Amino acid sequence: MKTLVGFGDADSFYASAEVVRRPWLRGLAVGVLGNQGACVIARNYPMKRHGVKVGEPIWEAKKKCPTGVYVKRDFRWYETLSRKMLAEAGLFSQKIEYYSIDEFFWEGSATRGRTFRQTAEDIREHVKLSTGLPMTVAFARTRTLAKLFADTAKPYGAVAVEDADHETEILAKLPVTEIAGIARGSAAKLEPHGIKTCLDLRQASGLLVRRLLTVTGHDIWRELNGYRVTPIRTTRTPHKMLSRGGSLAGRVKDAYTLYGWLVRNVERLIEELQFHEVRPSTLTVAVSYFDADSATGVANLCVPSARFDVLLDAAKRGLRRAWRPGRVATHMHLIASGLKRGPWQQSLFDPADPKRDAVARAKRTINDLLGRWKLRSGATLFANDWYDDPANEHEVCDVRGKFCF
Amino acid sequence: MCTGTALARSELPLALVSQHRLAERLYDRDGREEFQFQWWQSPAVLPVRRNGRIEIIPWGSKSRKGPLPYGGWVSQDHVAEGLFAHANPEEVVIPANLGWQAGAWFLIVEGIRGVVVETRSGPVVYMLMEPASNYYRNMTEQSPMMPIFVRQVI
Ligand SMILES: [Mg+2]
Repeated sequence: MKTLVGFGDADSFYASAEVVRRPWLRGLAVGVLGNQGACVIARNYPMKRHGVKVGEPIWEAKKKCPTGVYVKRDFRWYETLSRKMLAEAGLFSQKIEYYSIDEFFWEGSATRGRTFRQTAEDIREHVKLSTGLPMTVAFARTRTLAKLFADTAKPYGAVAVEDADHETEILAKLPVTEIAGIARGSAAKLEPHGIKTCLDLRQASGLLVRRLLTVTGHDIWRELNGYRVTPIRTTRTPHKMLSRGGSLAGRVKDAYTLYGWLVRNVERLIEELQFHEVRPSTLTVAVSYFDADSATGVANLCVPSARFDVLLDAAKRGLRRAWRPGRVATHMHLIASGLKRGPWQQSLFDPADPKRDAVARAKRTINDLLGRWKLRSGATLFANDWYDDPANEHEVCDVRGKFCF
Repeated sequence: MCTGTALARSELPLALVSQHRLAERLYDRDGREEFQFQWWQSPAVLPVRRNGRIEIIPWGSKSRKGPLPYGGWVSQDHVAEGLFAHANPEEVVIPANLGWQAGAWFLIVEGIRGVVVETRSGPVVYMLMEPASNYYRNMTEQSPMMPIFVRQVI
């Protein structure tokens, strides 16, 4: 049976998700604001028609779209809908990949008695009926092609491009920058060689493409030519590194506040390490500054560990190197790498510490029972404002199992 | 601050609409009909859920001379300290779908907490305020105070 790569992408997902739970918003211009209330991180088509762009500050957006309604983001809700979409779209294929919070790839054949195009329509209708979310669905020979054709069919499109001739017709009209993974810099490298459209790229020599855009670009070239480079991945490949962190919710100059955030990020990282059952051998603290260059501090652990006291100790060493006294910090990331999977052996450098293990267990049990961060390190009080807002409990990186943001 | 609210047309009983001539406050937002209650309107009023029903009540005081605090907003702390101790204050909910401040309409899940006080000419409602969150400040061009929302944190 003929199979193609299916791709589903919810249309303006965050804004659509808000409409699902508040149907009265339907038809209104809706903008979703980031956790700082300053920028539009997503907007629906009515707001887009007013010219509001993603990333635009609200003070610009409200001028362009005075009737727009601004909503605070809620990743807990978005995750619920995301998983529902995955489950519903998954009814059409045994092999589906959770690519991002609102994008899915699957290996699909046409439903019996239906064409691929009709099957795409059926999936779109089914997802709409079962979740309330509008989704664009595309079938094509490869992932890159399916995503490309879906992007051009938005919103609420359903397309199937099954053969090279049909592809040629569409690719000739699309600039190379339409391809996810080809940014303006890459396009500038291609242009002197007369490669402007996706079709130009497909017809270029593979050798030239690899020279200009490295292996990554070459893989795109192969996908454009109908060769499936990346298979459909039904489970997340094990992480090479895990990280937690992000914005410091404003500008931070004070060392105690910075330390509060460090401890918060250590606690979040431990949650993640425990979930994936891994222990890092290296911890990196990266801090971005408003008025200075970013800085990183690397700390190696004698023995891979996911214990609070050990990680905090390493994180402190890292922060000491990444801290620029007197400078204003804006972002912090904690990156765990050199991840080791069990079974772990007791070593001379890693003496058993039943007391601390018991404290960690108690902390975890209490938080599982009563909610995240109900019991947390006292040092996080230095960054306490953050915990007052339940929306901050759940970020897009907390949606597990997907391949990218 | 929060200088205006909007409530879907369907959420107010017809009798109230004619009694308070609310048709003048009816707006069309991209096809959705809503009543808007703005501080600049004269008279300024707000819908209030009180004793299990909705009433339309004068909003704050635009006079600096009378016994009432000037404006349509009072801080929760001042109320707790006894601002209205002699005016029989009663906590109420101001139902709203949207709030308005500094040119931006933002979503309100259920409503805003308010306080109704008795005066010689009848009840008057104030919005209850607290120091604004970082989010609210950014959204509203640095408004220092924000309304207290019912079951909603922004
Ligand atoms: Mg999308």
